[in-house]
Amino acid sequence: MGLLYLAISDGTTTCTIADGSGGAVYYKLAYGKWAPRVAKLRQDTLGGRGPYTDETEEMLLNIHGATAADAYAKLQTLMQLIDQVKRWKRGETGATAVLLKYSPANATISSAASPLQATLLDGDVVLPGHFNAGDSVITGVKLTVKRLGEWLHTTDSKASAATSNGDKASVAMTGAITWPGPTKIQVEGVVSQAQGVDTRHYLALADTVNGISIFNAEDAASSAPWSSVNESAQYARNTNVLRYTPADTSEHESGAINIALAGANALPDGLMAIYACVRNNSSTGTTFRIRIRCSSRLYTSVYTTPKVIGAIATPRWVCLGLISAEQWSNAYINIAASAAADSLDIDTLVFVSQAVNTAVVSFTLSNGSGAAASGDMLEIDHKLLTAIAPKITTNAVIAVTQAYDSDAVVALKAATVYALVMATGGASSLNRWRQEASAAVNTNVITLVRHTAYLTPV
Amino acid sequence: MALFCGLFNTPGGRLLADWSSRIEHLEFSTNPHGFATLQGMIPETLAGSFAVYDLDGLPRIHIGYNGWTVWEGRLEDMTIVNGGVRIGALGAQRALSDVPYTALWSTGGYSEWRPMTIDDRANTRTEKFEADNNNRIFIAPKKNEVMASSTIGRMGYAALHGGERYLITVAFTYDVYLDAGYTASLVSCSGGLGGSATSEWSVNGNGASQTGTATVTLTNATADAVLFQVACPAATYAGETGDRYLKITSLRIKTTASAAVYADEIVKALAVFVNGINSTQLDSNPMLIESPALDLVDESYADLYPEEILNRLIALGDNQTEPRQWEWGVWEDRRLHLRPRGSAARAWYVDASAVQIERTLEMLTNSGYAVHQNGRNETQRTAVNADADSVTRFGLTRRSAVNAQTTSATQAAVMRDTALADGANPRPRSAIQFLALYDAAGARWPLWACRSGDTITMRNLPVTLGAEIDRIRTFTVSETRYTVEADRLEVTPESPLPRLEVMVARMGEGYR
Repeated sequence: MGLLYLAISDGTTTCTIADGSGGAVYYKLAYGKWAPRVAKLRQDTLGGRGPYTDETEEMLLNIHGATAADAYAKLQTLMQLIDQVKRWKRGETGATAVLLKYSPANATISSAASPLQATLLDGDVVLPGHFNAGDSVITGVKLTVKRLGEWLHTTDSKASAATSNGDKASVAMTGAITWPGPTKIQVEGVVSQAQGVDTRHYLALADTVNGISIFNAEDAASSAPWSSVNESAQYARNTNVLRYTPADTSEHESGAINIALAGANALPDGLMAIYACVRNNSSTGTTFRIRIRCSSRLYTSVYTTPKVIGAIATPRWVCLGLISAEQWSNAYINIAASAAADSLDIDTLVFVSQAVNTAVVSFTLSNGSGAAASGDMLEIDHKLLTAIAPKITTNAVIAVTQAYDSDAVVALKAATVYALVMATGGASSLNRWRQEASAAVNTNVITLVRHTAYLTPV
Repeated sequence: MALFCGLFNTPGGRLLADWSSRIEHLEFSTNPHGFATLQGMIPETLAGSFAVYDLDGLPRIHIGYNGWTVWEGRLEDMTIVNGGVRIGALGAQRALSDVPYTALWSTGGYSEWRPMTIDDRANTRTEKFEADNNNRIFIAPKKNEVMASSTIGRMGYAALHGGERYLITVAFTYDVYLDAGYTASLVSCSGGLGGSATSEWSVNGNGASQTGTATVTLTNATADAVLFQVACPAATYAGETGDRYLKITSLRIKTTASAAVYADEIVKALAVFVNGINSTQLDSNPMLIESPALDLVDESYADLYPEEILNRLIALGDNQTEPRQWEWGVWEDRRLHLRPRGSAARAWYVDASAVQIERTLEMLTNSGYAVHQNGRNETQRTAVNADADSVTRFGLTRRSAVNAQTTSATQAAVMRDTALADGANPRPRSAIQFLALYDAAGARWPLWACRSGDTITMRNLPVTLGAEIDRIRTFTVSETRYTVEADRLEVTPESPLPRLEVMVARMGEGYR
């Protein structure tokens, strides 16, 4: 336990306002008092920087120098950091992030050695009216900084067991935290494809076991035009896939897939995102239109909006859309074909609840070279303390930045986090329902590096 | 539920920038034709602004949520301003106004047929014939004209120059009343009426009237013109003009082998056409294009943008007894759809926080008569019909005269009654504000999930509030505008297309 610690630093240059032990510093709070603002949930719905508001801090400082010239030099140092904040926010090359580091007096969680941190987004310095008095102490310098709302503290890094690609993994963190903490995710054992392969894959994460639910589509095989087909050679999950072979261009509904799970696995009521792993087997240009019907409260039917599956000759994951229901009981697959020809295969359906804390990140896995690479590592990094935008990379040989089209700032808080890698394509062929190398389904180890986060100082 | 906002070089291509944490004043909208507009501001240095400004190609903006597309479109407008770049993007429906389309699909008229001359084609001596296109194609040798074996009378039709489609079928009813030695023929040409010719159908004269119908599938795969002709023997025609002739009626020329020309076939071709020129702007997949099953007899497009053609086609409705309104649009994955209006709509329920309802009598018409012509082209007026309930409710008779361009008194009366149905009970204008969006099961959805074409029901208005309440409570959304920073959705209720407009459009095409 100590006294107030407050500093602004880019890792190289530091302006210490309070050193945590009451010692002499060059930048002192004018009246010895300051309290941070408290962030709240943002109203806007854009991602990229967490769900809490940015907050503007104001403080009056007295800048101490041995002489007036020394005080001016100290002021310049402070201003250099503020200038860097603005340049970094604008994305200038060479500008590094500047952090506000803080630990309140008598804190037991944070300390001067391990302060709370928040990235600065903007800043301003206003000099007092008597500045030209030429004193060695410049009193009443108004410092205004805008910071990310959440205070980030230490990280908790835990890994899952090696889990077959396509199965749900669990990561046991040290414990649950109060507020969702920004989490960097590393997935080992992915296969990245050659340059030009822009297939989208997904990683789903959930704070509850029922946040992610996996169903085998072949359970819906009833009678023609539906059948269950062995695709073990292409590493289908649970061996078989559901095949729709159209005899006409009308829409047909499959048999039921029982989604009435029990206990802790029961699908939460409310909004759900549905994903499917599909492959269009057409060589003649036949396309398919899919929508999922779910029965809600046993009697009401709800549908996803139709999704068209064009000419994709290899398995890939697609998002079929959002749907909402209560007391989920059965799911049915409805498909119409553009011609009475060819077929469409579906291996797996994944339901990701939007009613509990979940996240789904969509990204490419391309290594930029001319061939697939197995044993690659995927990293989804929020970079909230270092960069203005998240980054997703694979690192087969060098870090290759991936394209993504969903919010890559993932925040989790549960003691046990569940994860599912939805990725296709193997090292030897793209025609793989799950990622494989050396004739075996890849296993993934998922490591979560989660910040503890706070809205109020601790 | 955090949205992603990113800039890509091509659809599903390389991520150029993740703007999620940087973009300001982001708004995006939808309209009946899909994703409409997006505006925002990216704070940038001058160098950074120009880096965005100078991007190659046509970058795409994608707003996503967990892999689902919330909005997508092409970055068209960029304005460098003090402090950054203002961007404007348009949804994929924009692709339907990039390239004009010219093609004949079907024609049942005669007005574009003309008598040919020697300048059109060798041996053409139509001046020796009486030829007209007065609701028929008629070629008759004139009395006392000296014919040679090379004398031919011709009526020709040339498809739109530079059109996308070749002529494929010609269907007609014929009456060949020619003497022996005369031959009536249908000839197809490649390269205009003077181009290389292929004989497609012929009947030799035998001195008697030979009648029948023919549906000729042209063997000429590149036919862009057709002509009917009468070839003569070397002799003087001594009969009366008009006694011997070739007469063609019930004529229809198509550029498809399909028995009927439905709008979906045209729309699918439009998608292929646009995709063929700008492959990244519109997908050619026809999966979402449904058929109105209404045979379109006169569809010819000269330098029209596909957007204009689509707007025309949806106004024609379909083959249902009460024609349904149709819609076209482009949503996810740049896929064009054609379907009955509202068939893919989602139903939402809201608690209105503010309601504005405006009733005006400006659009009221509760009494009317139709003005039409009789067979002698004399102006006639039908009896007045009135909606008694409307007159009582509003305490006012407002009468209109409907201009029914028809010679059928029955049809005029139908148009009068249709106009009355449109105007006797005009829908009040309404504007509502709400903070949350729910589905039928009561689950709360993000506001941006509501799109044009969906229906909204205000569930917090008491059912006994007024006589009009049922007509206000539920409405179809015409446009949405979502403001991201405020998490606010503005919706514009739809004004339904008056049934009279649909009727007039269909009548113009010869449908009832």
